[in-house]
Amino acid sequence: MSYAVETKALCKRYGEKRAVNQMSVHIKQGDIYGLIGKNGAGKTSLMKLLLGLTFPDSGSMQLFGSGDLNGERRKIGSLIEAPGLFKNESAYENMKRFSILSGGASDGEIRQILQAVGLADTGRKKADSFSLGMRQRLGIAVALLGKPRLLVLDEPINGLDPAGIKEIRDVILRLHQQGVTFLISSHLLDELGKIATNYGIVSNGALVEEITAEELKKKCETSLVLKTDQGSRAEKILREAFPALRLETAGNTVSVPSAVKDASELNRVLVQAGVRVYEMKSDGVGFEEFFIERIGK
Amino acid sequence: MGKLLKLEFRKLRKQKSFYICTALMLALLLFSAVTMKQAYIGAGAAFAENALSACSFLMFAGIFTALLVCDDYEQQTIKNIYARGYSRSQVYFSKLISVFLAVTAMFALVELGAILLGCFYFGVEDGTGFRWLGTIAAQYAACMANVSFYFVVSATLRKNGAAIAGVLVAPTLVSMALGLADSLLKSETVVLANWWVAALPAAFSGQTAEAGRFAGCFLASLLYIPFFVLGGRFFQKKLEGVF
Repeated sequence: MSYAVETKALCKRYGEKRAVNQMSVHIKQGDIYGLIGKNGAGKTSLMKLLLGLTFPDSGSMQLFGSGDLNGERRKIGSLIEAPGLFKNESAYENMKRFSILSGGASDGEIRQILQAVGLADTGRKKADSFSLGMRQRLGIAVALLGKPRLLVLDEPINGLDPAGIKEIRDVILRLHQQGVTFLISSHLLDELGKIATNYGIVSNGALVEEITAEELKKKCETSLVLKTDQGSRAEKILREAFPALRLETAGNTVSVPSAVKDASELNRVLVQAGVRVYEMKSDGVGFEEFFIERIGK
Repeated sequence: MGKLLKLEFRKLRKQKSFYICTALMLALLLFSAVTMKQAYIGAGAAFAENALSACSFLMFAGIFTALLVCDDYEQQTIKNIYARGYSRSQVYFSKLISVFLAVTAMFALVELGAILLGCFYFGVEDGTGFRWLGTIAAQYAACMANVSFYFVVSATLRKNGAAIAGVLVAPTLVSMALGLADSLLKSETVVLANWWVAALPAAFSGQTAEAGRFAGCFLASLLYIPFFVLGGRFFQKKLEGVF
């Protein structure tokens, strides 16, 4: 398995608090790995350890299968907490300056990145007078310098308006198609749900669960449950009336795991056929409930 | 390291404090030349030898060092550097090189200005030869020793305000502590306060320089530089907990 990031029992303490506690994270190359957890759960602390902004107390990590962490970090772009920018310089000047770190970038490349994040028209305006959203975009633009193979983005859509969120999402998806791996933390589950291929759920400094988007989809699938007086007959009637539906029967209970547009229609068909329906209810957990169950309220 | 130096030099070129501090020092030199006309008549070289104290060079160098070193920490751009795989030591030494080069440029400009002003206002005394060049070289070593100390203070405190206060106050505090130690020790042969880095430039004052002390202070200046630079990095590693 080719991992972009692999950690083993990573630990980091700040005084008495265990910010990162025995975290073993596995991010495959090409993943969009969504890191989910409450404030203070340890998401940013983990990202800082990966980027070398802080040092682990114990545990180990590998980047792109290598233990030469600083060497591999040259292939990583990042945005951690508030973007670090030279406030008395324009977006272009900031980009030009930071491009030195990744071996330089042509004017064309810089303008292309600024265009992608929606900052092409800021001219000589200083970063100091940028809005929160514009700074965030510039932070992302800086992270994109040097064609990174892995992007570590901590709450990248903080402060962005809906149009900005969509722009950043499109940038992420486009880069992902080009093979870039992402580690993204966000509080906005719906937004993360639109792009993530894998999830890491973090609570109290520990990694509670790693799950793929497909597994998550299965776990979060809701079913329509019908309690009848004749289970097998009800199933037969529903199969004839709605051939596209997936049905599961246990005793007199029929479950419909696939999406049902109009549940009352199923009830009508069964009642007309003489099958009594004692109860109809929706069963299963939603996306949000699934995470809340794991990270706690 | 090359990329980091390039980044530092770009920052240096855009650092307003470099131009402001140098301009202020040259203005103070001019003011000094105009107001102290009687003291240096026929002694342009002596004016150059005393230029550092006349323009408060160490104070400006300290403020400039603090601003240059703390800039990345203050604006949080330092995380962009660390996150790209540059080590703490690489960052430390690239900043040190950039500070040394900038202060050397300041020193050269101030001395050049002082020589020109000295020649223009006071003329050159006959028979002085190039002794003053040796004095200026020794002053340069003492300045770099002090700048090494300022660098360590700034790289440790990492905030503009704290670092500026640190570079202005810390040398005096250490002088006071050494003075107290001298009072307790009552040694007649060694006065510790005289060997503190902040006291060294005074030993190279053209008119008062005494040969034995001159050589001793010159050597001490050269020893202080690696002591502060390497000691500072060792101390930082302790703080970062990377041992």
